Amino acid sequence: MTARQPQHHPHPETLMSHVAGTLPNAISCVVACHASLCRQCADQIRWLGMLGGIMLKNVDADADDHVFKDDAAAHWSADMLPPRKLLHDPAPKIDDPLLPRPLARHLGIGGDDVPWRKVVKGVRQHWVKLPKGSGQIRLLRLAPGKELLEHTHTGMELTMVLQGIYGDHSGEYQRGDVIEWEEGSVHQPHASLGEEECVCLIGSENIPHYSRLVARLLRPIIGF
Amino acid sequence: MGDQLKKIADERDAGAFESLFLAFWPKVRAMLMRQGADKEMAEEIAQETMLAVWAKSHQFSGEKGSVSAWIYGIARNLRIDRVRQQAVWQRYYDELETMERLQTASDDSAVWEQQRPELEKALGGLPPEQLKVIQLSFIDGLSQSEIAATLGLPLGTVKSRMRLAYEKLRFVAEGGS
Repeated sequence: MTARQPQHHPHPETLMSHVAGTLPNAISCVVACHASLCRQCADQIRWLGMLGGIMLKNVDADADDHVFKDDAAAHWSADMLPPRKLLHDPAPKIDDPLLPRPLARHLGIGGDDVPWRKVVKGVRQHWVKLPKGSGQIRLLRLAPGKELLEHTHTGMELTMVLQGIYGDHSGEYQRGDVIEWEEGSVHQPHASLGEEECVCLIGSENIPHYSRLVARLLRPIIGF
Repeated sequence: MGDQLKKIADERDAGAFESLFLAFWPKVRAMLMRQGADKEMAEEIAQETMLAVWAKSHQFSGEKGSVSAWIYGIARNLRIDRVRQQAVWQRYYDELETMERLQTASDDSAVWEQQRPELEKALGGLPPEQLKVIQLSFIDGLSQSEIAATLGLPLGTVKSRMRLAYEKLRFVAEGGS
């Protein structure tokens, strides 16, 4: 089966920072999930890794300290070499129709077992537990036609569609597509009308800021 | 360098590994110290990185992959894991690539590898302000906003420099010249 390839991708500089390992953890999660479904971005990540290797090779380790080379020799001993690890399948073959592999592996569950929590009628969500300082990741499930509150962001935010059709002023998006919001952009997402619920994975650096006062007051209660 | 790793993998040649160790250990340590690890932590991670290379060398198909890219990925993952104490989403990807190498006789990584010298040349040919930004990202481990603060530039300028560098390098990596 050849799945539809995503048509909307993370920005180039986001892919670059992902490979360099400098993105907020929550954003890297969405990039990795997208790349697990997107051949094009998987290829980009591959050559960017090669670029990292070239730059590592070019690091001048002696620039600041002339004893660096001797230090390496002092840390070398053939006796320290551990036995080789047995070949194993490092990536368990989780083929979940909803959750992309990196996330399914992290959660250790499939899409049917997500402990959804009702927020308001037609909106359910699940916060993914992350270490402190990682940003926020949540799965959001919207009934067809459901609209969210208008909000803006103070940091990076990436939304990836996992199921159904997600839309906003910029267009409509399907499974695998990523929408990367510019800092400060205002948007009001909705699930398209139809039969299918819309499920999204959202990684944000900071908590979103709601445009309407009532929404700002409600945020601590409704939790999104 | 790929031949060296093949020797390490096939013959378990500690001599071949020693030269790889001496070449990369100082570079990995220097990179980690530039990323803010203290000397002790940087040495520990450099050691762990190189031992992982030894332990997993049989998973590496020398003629197809890039040893330095592999080492870079291992060091980066260990840094995220140990220094930032966060989930390593990139790991999935490195593993997947290893699996692909093992499972397919020929894959696209051969094409990427052919482009490596070209990519290196293109990197050296980038305008200095673009090169600086991607070095600060890949080697110094700075986020886009940290790069902006370090260079005293608006965040948008950092993003656009990264994007320009990316477009040039991507063209070469995909076989353009």
